[in-house]
Amino acid sequence: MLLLVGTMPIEDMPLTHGPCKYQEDKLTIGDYTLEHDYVTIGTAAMISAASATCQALNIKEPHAVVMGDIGMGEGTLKMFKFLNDEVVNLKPKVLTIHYILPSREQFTKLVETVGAMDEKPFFIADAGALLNAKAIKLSRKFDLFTPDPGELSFLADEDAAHPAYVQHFIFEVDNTEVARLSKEAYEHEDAPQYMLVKSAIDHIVVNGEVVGVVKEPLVPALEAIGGTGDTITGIVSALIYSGIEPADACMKAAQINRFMGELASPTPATAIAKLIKHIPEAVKKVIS
Amino acid sequence: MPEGKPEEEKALIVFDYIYHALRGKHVLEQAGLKIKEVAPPPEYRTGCDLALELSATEVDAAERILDEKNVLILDILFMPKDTKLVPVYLTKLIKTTDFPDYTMVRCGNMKITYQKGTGIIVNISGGG
Repeated sequence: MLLLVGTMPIEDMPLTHGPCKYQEDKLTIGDYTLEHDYVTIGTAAMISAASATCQALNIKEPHAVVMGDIGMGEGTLKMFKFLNDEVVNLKPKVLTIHYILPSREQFTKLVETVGAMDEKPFFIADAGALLNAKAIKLSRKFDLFTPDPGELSFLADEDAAHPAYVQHFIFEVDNTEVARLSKEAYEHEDAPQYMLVKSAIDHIVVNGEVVGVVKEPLVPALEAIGGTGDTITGIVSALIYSGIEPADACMKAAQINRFMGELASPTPATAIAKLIKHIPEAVKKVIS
Repeated sequence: MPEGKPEEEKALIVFDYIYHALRGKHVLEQAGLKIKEVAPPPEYRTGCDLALELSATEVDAAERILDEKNVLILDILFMPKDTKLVPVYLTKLIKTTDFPDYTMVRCGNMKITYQKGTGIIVNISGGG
């Protein structure tokens, strides 16, 4: 099972879990349906991209656990309590955690539970989950992080407990800076074995060393479109679930995300919802 | 503090965190000291990536002002005479990208894009 976990900024969304399926302008999770712009809100963009990739690869659809949380943290805690009870029974092969509010006790418990599983899933974190893992020194319990340069800057600052207070800020995001910060983060155990650093040039990092970059196709408008980082995380989760080696999956995910953008011919005003429908065709371009 | 530094020699105040660097710049300027924001050379990048350059003769005054205003510094370094430091202008952190009908404003990793003419925000990215 590919298990995707995260919160949605929807106040009355109950704890929802089940198989998920993306269709254009519609995402179904269990018996809950998100439509139109909600298809790409919060964790939904990541789930939609993962579902679209699974469909293109003709593999089993993802399973998701989500709950509404508008910043108070209650949804996050209830979601983790459910996961702590059920993750062993769900037996995920790949587990991706996305937007969450900070949590120590329940988050740590989940990480420990996952670490003790007979068949430990490939463990991925992005966004809030990545920041939370680093803040409580659990990064090495994960297999893959998918940070943007701002998040990488936080990982590289060993003493920073909050991403708003970091020593480094990146004047110019370039190859040198991403490589340096990735190495620093790994050396003090604040980065897992694999990282996919999402930026104008995507970097694939293994054990603190950059092993590959993806620059093409370059679609300038993508930088303006919110959610394009979320879609990469969903795509790479699905690719790893399909059995592709993690570093190769990171390379391919970055390429697929860029082809998704190219196929949509977006303007800077295009919503991410209009891009996700192009993922199946983008997958075919990269994976023959 | 070392004494007898030639007037043209420069010193560098380095900080742990950006917050203190920005506050340090503010209080020193308020006190009338001439300072310049610079990126410290790589070998001195022990703290944050913003440092304040000033005349070595004003170091004692600067240190006293920063102490009075509770601005925490990491260290004060006296630079060799010909050291060339890269000026940093905070306004450079905010960058704009021009598209035919839109403008993207970027500060750090946060990007807000608006439509020219109307000012309507059409996309926000990088806030995850």
